[in-house]
Parts: sequence; C-alpha cells; structure tokens
Amino acid sequence: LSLFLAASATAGVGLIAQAPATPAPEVTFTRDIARILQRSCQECHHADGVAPMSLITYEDVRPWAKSIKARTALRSQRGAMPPFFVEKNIGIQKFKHDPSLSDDEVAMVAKWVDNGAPRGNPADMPKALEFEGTDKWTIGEPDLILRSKDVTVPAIGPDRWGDFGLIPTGLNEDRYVSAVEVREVNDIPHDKSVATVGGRYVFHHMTYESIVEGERASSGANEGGGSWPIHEVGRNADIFPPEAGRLLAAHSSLSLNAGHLHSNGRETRGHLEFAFKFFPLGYKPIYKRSGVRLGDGINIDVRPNESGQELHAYAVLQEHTKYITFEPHLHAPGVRMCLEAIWGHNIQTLNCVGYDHNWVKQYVYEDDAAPLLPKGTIVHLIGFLDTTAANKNPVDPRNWAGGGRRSVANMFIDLGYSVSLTEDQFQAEMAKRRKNMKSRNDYDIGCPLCWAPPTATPTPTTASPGRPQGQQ
Amino acid sequence: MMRRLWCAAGAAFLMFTAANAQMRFTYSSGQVVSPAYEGWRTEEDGSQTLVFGYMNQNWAEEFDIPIGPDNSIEPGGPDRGQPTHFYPRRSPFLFTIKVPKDFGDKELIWTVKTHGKIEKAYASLKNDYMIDNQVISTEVGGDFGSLRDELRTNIPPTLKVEGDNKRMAKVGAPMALTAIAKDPDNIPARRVATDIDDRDGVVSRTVIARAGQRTGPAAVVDRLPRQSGRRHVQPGADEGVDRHARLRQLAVVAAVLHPRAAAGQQVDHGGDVQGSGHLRAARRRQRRRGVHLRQRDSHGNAIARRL
Repeated sequence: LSLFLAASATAGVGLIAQAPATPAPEVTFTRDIARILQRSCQECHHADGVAPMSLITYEDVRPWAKSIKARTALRSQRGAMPPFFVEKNIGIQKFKHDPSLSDDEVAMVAKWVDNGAPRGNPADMPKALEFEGTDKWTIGEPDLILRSKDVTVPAIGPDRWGDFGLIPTGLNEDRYVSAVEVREVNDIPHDKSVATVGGRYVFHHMTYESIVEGERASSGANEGGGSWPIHEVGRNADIFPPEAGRLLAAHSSLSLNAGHLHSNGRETRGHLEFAFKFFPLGYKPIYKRSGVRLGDGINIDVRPNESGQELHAYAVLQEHTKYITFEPHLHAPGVRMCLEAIWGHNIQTLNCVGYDHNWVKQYVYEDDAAPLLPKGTIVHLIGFLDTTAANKNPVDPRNWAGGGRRSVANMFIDLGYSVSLTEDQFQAEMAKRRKNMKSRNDYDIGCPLCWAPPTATPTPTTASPGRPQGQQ
Repeated sequence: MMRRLWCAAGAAFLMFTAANAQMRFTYSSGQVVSPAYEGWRTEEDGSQTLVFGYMNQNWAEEFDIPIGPDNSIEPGGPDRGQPTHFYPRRSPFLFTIKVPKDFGDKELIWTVKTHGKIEKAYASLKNDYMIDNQVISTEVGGDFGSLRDELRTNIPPTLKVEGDNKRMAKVGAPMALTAIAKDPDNIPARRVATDIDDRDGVVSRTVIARAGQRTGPAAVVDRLPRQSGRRHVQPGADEGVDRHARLRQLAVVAAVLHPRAAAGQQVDHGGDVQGSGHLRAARRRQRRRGVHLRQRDSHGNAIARRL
C-alpha cells in the first residue's frame, strides 16, 4: 500500500509538473497593495496622522516596501504592523475594528516586495481616501468631545501620578454612550522618535469616571455609569454592545482622578481628548456590568535576561458572563497574554494575543462572537514575559523587577470588561449563537454550553443525579 | 553518537527552560535572592542617591550572607551598606547609596550569591528609573496606594535610636534601646492614635533587645499600641528579638508582634534612619500577613485579636 501511495504521489507530481503553467498575475501597488494600505494602514499613516510616515501614494510607500514586508510578517509579535496582535490560529477571531491582514494579504505584500515592488497600472489605483487632518476619530463623527487641561512633562523626571481635575460634560439630559475614544494630543513631531517606555506619549494611562457633583460617583453603575475603561498608551476605542451602553448623566463631569505621566526624554506638552458617540435618545441598556477582575499585582517576579516567563491568575465567575473585550495589560517585559475559560473538563483558550508595551491594545469582540461563559466558569489569565535582547522594551533587562505602578515595574491584568447575564438573557444569547452554527459538529469557541439543552424548570423536590456537568 | 549527545543536551535544555518558566510556585525554600535596583533621585547638592531593595523568592527561608564576594557592591565596596540578612519575599526601597554629581553613565553593581547562583542588580541613572517621594510611597502601598499628588512633598518619617552607636552588652543579658519615630507633617495621617508619647507626631517606644548567642546590638521599634500608658514595653516571648541581633552595627525592626511580621533594616549611618521606605516596608508586610495579639478574656480564656 505504501509503495502504491508513493508511486501515485510521484505520478501526481509528474502530472502537475507537466501541466501548462498559468502565470500568476503580477502583484502591483495600484491593483493590490493600495487597497490593503487603505483598509489597514492609512488611518494612521497619512500626512497629518499619528504615524511617522505617510503611506498614501506609490512614492510614499516605495521607500518603505521592505520594512512593510518585514512588519506585516510579524503578525502577532511585537513590532507587527498593523498593531493588532491577535494570534490567528487560536481562539476567537471576530473582532470589531480589526485592521489585521489575512494570511493571503501578508503573502501578497511579500510577493510584491520580492518582485521589486512594481507600481502597476495607474488606472487600477482605488480612489484616495479623504483625511480631515488629525481630527478623524476611529469611532466616526463624535456626538461630544471633551478636552483635558494641558500638562507639560519634563524631558527627564520621575513617574508622576495625580488628579487631573474635572471636565464638565455640559449635558442637560442623560445620554447612553455607544462608543468612546480617547487620544493624547501632544507636541512630539511625527518624524521624531523617542527612546523611553511608551515612546511617543506621556500619558501612560488615565483612569477616569463620570460624576455628578453632590451625588455618589457610583450612582448608575448598574446601568453603565461611573467608571469608564482606562485609557492607556496607544489604546484603541471602546465600542459598547447594543445591550450595554454606558450612562453619561445629565450635569455630569469627567473626573480624571488617577493619571500616570511618564517622561519620554523630550519636554512634552500634551492633553487628552475624549470623544463620545451616543445611542439615540430614549435608549436603555438591558445588561448589567460585571465586576470580574482578573490579574495579580502582588506576586510578580520578573527575572533578568530570561524568555518564556509566565504569570498566572484565576477567577471564578459568579454570574453568567458575556465578555465584551479582552485587554491585556503588562509592562515592558510583556510579550503575550492568553485568556482561558475552564468549565469542568471543558478548557477553551479564548484568545492569545501578542503584547507590545508601545501599543497597548484592547480587542472588542463582535457581538455574535463574544465569549458566553456560564456561572462557575474559571477564567485563567496567562502572561508571557521576555527580558532577553529579543524584547527591546525593558529599560534594563539585566535587572530583576517586581510588580508596581511605574513603567519600569510590572503589571499583570486583563483590563477588559464584561456584562452579567440573567438566566433568561444567557439562554437567549446562546440560542442566537446556535442559529449561526451549521451543525452539532460546529463549535462556538467561548460558549461551552451552546449545545447544552436549555435549563429545565427547577423541580425543587427531586435531585438530578448523573446529569452531565453543564446541564443544570 | 555526537548528534545523539547534542539531541540529549537540547532536550535537557528545553526541559530546563520549561521548568524555569513555570517557577511560580509558593516555594518555602531553595530559591534565590534577587537584588533589586529601585531607582535614583537627585539631591539638593546635585548628587544622586541610588535606592536598592531585594526579592527573596522564598516564602520562609531567610539568608545570612556576610559582606564579601557573595554580597558585594562594586565599585567602592564590597561594603556599601547593604543588608546581610534577607527576609522572605519583597523588601523594596531598602537602602540607599549616594553617588557624586559626575556619576554620569557609570554603574554600581550589587552581587548576591544564594544557593550557588549569582544574581546582580545594575544601578544606573537611566531616565526611566528616576524616582521621588511619591513614587516610593505609591510603590510600597503607602497611604493605601494613594496617588495623591500631596505625597510628592511628603516629608519622610525619621527614626532615631537614642544613645551611642556602640555599646557594650553581656551575652544573654537584656539591654534597653530606645527608638524615636517622627512624622513631622503627619502625611498621611496616622491611623492609630497612640497614647504613649504623642508630642508633635513623635512616637517613642523602648524595648529590650536580647543579644542571645549572637554578637552585636539590635533595636526594635514597636509601632503598635499595646498597653495604654506604658512607655517601656517588654518584648513578648514570641517576638524573637534576637532573630535580628546578627545584623551589623544597628538594626531597626518594626512591628514585631509576630517574628514573621518583622522587617529588618540595617542603618547606613549609626543611629539615624532617614527615608520613608523602612517603616513602609514593615507596614506593608504587617498588613499582608496580619498580626494577632494573644490575650485572655475576663474568664481567662485565650482569645486572639487581629491588629
């Protein structure tokens, strides 16, 4: 049999070799590459964008061709472009605002560069995108933009934490937020590089909440008011699901109560801008925010000059939970983070993502792909650290480092957020998922009970021995 | 044959690497001490102060490593005031070394060898390592980890042991040492109102240090109110004061109701301890582990009270 297979395979190779060759179409800038750049790169890489060079025209792009090939080939690793580090072969793959390239697109870029990066027919060039200076927001046209006060950060100085005051929203009625985007605007020239942790920014992070003076800050927390997702270096926008908008109350102010500034080697003046998009008037959220917190800041023990270091943290979900985002937060030694869900013997890796401390990203799940985890699930967070020369982010990789707030110290936390679901909401969400699945052989990663029969009406007088786990 | 050897070596390396990566267990012993460089700050005279601490990766094992090749700071050492006794887990912002204005790109290297393994901390003036009072306070959980800007101007508490730096004592005989702690600006405000000696934020306690079989004096600062109105507090049998007696010169130890709750601190310059990290380290450790005071109720039944 083996001989037969080997002979057949050899014959097959011969047949293929003898078939008339169809020349593969040449990959050109105008027909193939420009479209990729428009979708995944130009939002930052335009004349007034935040990136250090424009990638609009062929003349803009050609000098960077080899670099583009190298950066796109990095995929989920530090330094990859575009900076979206989800590993493509593990876990959930549907995210909002995902600019990443498919495997075919990465191969196409490589082929284009290897063939001399030809321009192609100008007639194939897609219509140029329009950029309105630096005021373009990824969430679209905001309904409200708020601005912090300016701060001047010295070229060299200790990390600084503090309260950056209140920004009145000016709202006269309650509004529910569908998306919020925060960005740092500073005077660092686009074409100048800086050599400290967090590089191009001085606001390492900003923790903020919305308050109505005279009321408790936590009022309305169940409806999504109060605290907001933390802003971090290079972080992308928050997009809330239709069922879980966040309240920005009438007469409220943003309280920038815990900012962290980090000097970047150049005196820098900058501020933060907060852009909000609202749900229509009359909207009310139906899901309650979850209090899940996952991470460990106490036992961090980062060895010098060592790759493959791991950190682990666990939590047990107290309610049915829908994860909205996954947001790895490590510091300079961090290179990767994974999130697992453990439901009995069912262990699923929800995602693994690369980590680059210069691009702290959150990953917003598509509504029909977000993890749906039953009460009792153990969520397991795994951080991967590298303090060898392969990771250029640690300031002095020869030094041991522990946990802490400073940029040279370490954090290990999932800053993502989730919502709690009632039994009915949980069952309804899973029913929607089942409609998207073709058969019982189709898995929905992150939904361990999607194929389990819905919960029966409880019968308080009888137990149900032997019922498989998950079929309560 | 050679290839097989290489394969075996490679497999062994991979196994070692995998095991190494997973060393996050709660080891009681057998792990090493990692000296830690905490950062630097500029003094008013333009000189810089480098701050060090350490991480003993064990949860129980303590080390005594005398100054020498296994515990040295160079250049200028081996003795630059570093500790010789290492308590379990993290002791941040523990001691300082002042360096001249022209230190520039130079480095100080602290080498510690435990369980046959050498670990080093490299102290430089790299920008990212710059610190100030707020950084120290925040990083050790001071003011409950508050980020208040006020902590930047916070004046560190001081601690002084009264009397001469060197005193004679008989082995096994008690010797009284008095320590005075001050927090001039009372920031953050003291949480425990002490009725012992409360003039201008001064808290003083006198305790008895027993030299035991080891040489050298020791001091203990008890910052917990124990019994009202008593200025001179005798250490309890469970305080294990002599655990700290082996430290060179003068040791200052805080919060010693339970020996594991103690934080040893070697003093740089006889008698005075400037800087806030010492007591804070002790406080943090104390909070983490909790301190239980054994008492008896009115019926003579033993009770434990958590402080």
